[in-house]
Amino acid sequence: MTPESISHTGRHLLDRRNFLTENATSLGSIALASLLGGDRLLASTDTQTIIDPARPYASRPSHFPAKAKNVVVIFCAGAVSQLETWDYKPELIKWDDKPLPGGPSVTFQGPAGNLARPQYDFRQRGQSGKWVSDMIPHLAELTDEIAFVHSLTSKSNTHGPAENFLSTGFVLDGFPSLGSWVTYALGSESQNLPAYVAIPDPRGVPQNGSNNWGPGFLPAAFQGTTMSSKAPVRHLQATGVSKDADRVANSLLREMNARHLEANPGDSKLAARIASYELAARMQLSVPEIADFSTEPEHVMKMYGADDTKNPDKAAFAKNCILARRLIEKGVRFVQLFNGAYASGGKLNWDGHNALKEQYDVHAEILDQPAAALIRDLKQRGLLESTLVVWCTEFGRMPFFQQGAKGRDHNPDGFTCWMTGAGVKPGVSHGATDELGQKAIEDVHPLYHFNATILHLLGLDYHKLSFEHNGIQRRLTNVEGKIIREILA
Amino acid sequence: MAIAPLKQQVQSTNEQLAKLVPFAQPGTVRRITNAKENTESFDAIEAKLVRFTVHDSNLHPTLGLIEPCIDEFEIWTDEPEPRNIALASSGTKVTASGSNESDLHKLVHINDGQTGNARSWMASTKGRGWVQFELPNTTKISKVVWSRDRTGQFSDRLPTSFTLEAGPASDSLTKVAELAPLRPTAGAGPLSTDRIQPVRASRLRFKILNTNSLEPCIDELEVLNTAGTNVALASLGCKATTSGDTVVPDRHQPNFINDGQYGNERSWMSNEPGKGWVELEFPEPQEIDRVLWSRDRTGKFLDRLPIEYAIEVNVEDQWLLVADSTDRQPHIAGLPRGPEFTLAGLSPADASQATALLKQKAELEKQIQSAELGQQVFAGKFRAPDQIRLLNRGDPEQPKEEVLPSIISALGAVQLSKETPEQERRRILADWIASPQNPLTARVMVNRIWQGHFGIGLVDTPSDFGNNGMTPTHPELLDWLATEFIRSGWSIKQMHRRIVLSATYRQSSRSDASSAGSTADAEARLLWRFPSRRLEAESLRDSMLAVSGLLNTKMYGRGFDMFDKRGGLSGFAPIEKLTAENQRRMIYAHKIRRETEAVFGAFDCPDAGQSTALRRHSTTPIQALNLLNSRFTLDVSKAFAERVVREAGGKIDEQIQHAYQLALNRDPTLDELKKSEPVVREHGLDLLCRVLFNCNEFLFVP
Repeated sequence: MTPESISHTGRHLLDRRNFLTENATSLGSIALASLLGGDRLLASTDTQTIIDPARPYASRPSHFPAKAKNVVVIFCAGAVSQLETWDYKPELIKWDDKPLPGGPSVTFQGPAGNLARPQYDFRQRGQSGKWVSDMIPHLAELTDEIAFVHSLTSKSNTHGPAENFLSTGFVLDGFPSLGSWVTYALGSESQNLPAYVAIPDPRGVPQNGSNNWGPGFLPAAFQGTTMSSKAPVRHLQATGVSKDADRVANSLLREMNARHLEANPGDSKLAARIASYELAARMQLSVPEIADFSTEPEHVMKMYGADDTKNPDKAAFAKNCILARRLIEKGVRFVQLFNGAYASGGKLNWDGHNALKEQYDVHAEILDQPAAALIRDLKQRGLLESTLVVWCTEFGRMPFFQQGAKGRDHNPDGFTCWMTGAGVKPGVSHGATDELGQKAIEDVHPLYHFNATILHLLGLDYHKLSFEHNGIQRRLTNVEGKIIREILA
Repeated sequence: MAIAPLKQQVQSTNEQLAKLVPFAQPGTVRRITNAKENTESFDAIEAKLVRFTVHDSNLHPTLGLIEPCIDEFEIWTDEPEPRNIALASSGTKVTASGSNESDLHKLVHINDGQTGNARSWMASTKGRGWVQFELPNTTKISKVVWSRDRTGQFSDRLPTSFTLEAGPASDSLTKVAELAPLRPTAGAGPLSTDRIQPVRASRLRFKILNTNSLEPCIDELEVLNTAGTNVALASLGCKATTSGDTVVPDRHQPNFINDGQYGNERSWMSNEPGKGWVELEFPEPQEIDRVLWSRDRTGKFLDRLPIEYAIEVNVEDQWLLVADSTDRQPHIAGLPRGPEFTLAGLSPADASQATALLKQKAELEKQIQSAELGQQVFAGKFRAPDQIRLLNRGDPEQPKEEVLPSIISALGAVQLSKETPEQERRRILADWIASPQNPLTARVMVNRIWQGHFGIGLVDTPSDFGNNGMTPTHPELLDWLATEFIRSGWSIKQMHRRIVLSATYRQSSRSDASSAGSTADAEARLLWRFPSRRLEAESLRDSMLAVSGLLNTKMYGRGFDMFDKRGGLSGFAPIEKLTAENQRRMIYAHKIRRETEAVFGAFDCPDAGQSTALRRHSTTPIQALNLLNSRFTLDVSKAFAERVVREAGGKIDEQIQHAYQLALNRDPTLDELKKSEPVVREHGLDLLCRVLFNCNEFLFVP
């Protein structure tokens, strides 16, 4: 390994007199001499990830044996109401249309109105008997497979910063997303596809756009690549250029670069760029193949609802779900599947301020069957044993309606996200909000803990996974973090 | 000169102009004139003079309202075998209000018997003008035929409204045909006015029948009575009801329609795309003569605009249509919305008053423009400094004990009291930063300059010279440069000169795998050779534009856009088409935080969400795809090929040679020439140019 690929902190560690005492537990003092002179100077210090510039997506070992190899994050943009979905609050039925004594007079968007009952009926599901809403009948059938965390909190009550917080651990812009951290640490099992794919909702991108899959200050190689059933990978083919001409161009380029490398031996950056064109060429073949739904059997299309001609948004989201499964099948490390677009008065995402029931009827129809089918399909194919599926949203909603409206305002103080699949304990509900579902009161977990738990399931120590930027060792969980062990298998 | 009072004067001029509008003519059936041919037939009349007055013309797609043109004007006699008597060859003389004369456009072209744009007359005034024909003898006529371009090639500059008069003398002309002018497009300006014949009513209804997009939005609906009072105001007791609302608290609420406040954030929005209505009920019947309405009176928002509408008043329980959009210029997507004010259709008295006001407005706008070009400063005010507390773990929600202004003890001995005023604190900080005794400032600065030239600084943590930072590779050099920097009066230019004239900078980047350097220091951190590096995103884009001859070297001013919009939170679509503006250097690109540029963002070009002291240089297949297949690359490669052909001529060998020279500063080798030749022959020079833009030799310096 070349000296440049070692972070300055790594070198600094080597410089320091207390190096041995600091690292005695992790690598042992014997290794020091060989490390200093050798190739893999810091590879085993655990704190640093070393990227081979020619193969940025090469699979890299986790910090400790991992339960999950891949991740699918189903990201519901706009803040899904916990009260209409997973967090059953029968007290609210009693309190329906009554003011909340001592409640806030004003919330994020304006004056608070009266308390409002859950807008859907709930019933008990599965062996666990957990109450789940009729809004999502298909997902509800999976209740026994899921580990719910009902007591999450966010640091912001505004969509943009809160999506940042969920995706990057910081409310400000410019920090690496979860998927970037994961692929930076682990690379990918697929060498023909991007390591990290973000699939935007057919209705548009979420409020925070590409921040949700941005690399922040990590190398750009770890930025999420967007593709969906509606929009292919950008710049995959040159429009108006024949395949034949493209082949000629590539072969001429290869020859030129080879000659140039010969004249400049020993420059690893040049070799890396040559390799990147080879990976790009493989992607040109494998991406169209993976997005070709004609090869998917009819019964599978039907199971996902991808054949729904009456609801094109649902059909397109369902195809996105199939795409997610195919990417996981091919070994793509991290797939972020968006449900819901940008702020639009709740029309295109889960931001139900005004007419929550009316709008959630539409959104739930799009989400429910395809997402449930994705989980079932992964399970049927045995992929759920190595794949973690995460369902998340940036915050929750208030137990009362907004004044003069039939919808709920933003609530960052207590909301639900869940996980299922590899390494996750099935059928548990962890943490709780108060009896009206307004604030997390039992086992409260800021989203840092949720993200730390995802890293843990991937065999990554959230303390150790760090990157030096402007003088600070940055982490996904900043200086916070805790593993929610209660939901681990 | 202060701008605000000038803008206020413009506003008041606009308000006066808004009163000088023609009456609405609801239920108008629009007649659209035809660029190729228009026939005006009328009862036969004895005429010596024929006068054609143009009141209004159609809009040019980019230039808007411009001077009308007529290629041929025919006056036909009322005879069993009619003749065109307008022809100059018949002895008819023609005069005009004014003519823009050029090779193509001459007044004599209007009656020369020849057609087409190149044989046409053009007026000298935008949208208006007249021509008058003096026939050789008083003759009985019954038909006029006129056209903008009889060949059918041009349809701009077409008169859309006119009056045709004929008679024996100039003081005895009779109107024989007329096409009344249409009012400006709905929403042509921020404020639309519907002037109606005074009517007494207790209720008024504004029905929206179509919009340019989405649910209609109106920020204010005003109804003026003949005394000039806005009787629609809620504060005067007027009640508003609507067909349905989209409510976004503090932005779109039904009560904002008549709250007397303007702007999108004080507007009503319907709940149905393309339609909706608002009904106003006045506390007592009012004598109404004007309805004023706007989508966004501040002019920022142009979407959700009602483009078809009807205004009705309720008189004795009957709804009466008093104004609608049928007599307005139709709204055509993609066409400019036209002047918000025209003189067309005004009475002579109103027209002359309006002309004076327009002149006054133009003068004011000129003054505003020159005032805006003046020097501007950002100025702050000093105030008592806030109490500053230590934040536990950097968390603003966990304030701990108060801290006083001071410098980190390791770096100095400045310690100020709590009472020190802000000016004093700033001065002391500035003095400390710029003190020659403070070695950090100069070291950090010269290290950044060095980093710019070599890709990596002598200290490779440019923002961290502390305990967590790296130690310098050449500490004595760093200190010497820092001292020189201070000695030269902190001259950045001198520092650049010193570095680029050094032997270290001018050495070759060649390495030999077997050399001692290659084994001991492969990345040349110790600078035994010049360290090669990939071009950064901006230099790469600039280089491609420069090599292809497209680079626009315009400096200063407003940055160009990489995306289709600047404001908003998401949904930024990249602009892929090349324009003169976006061919400027990328340093002039307007950054959208969180959106990385569609092609070059992948080359580690930060989105500016966080400051980036040192860029990463990663290598990704997405970079390869972007640089191979983006429209930018294809378009720039095409321009590069065209430049090569222009400069090197038709021979393929010479083309290849020139392309290599431009892109790589060298001739191709014989082998390269031999390989490239059949490629260019078979697939065109564009393809070779695209390959050159992708090759490592182009992307790496030196």
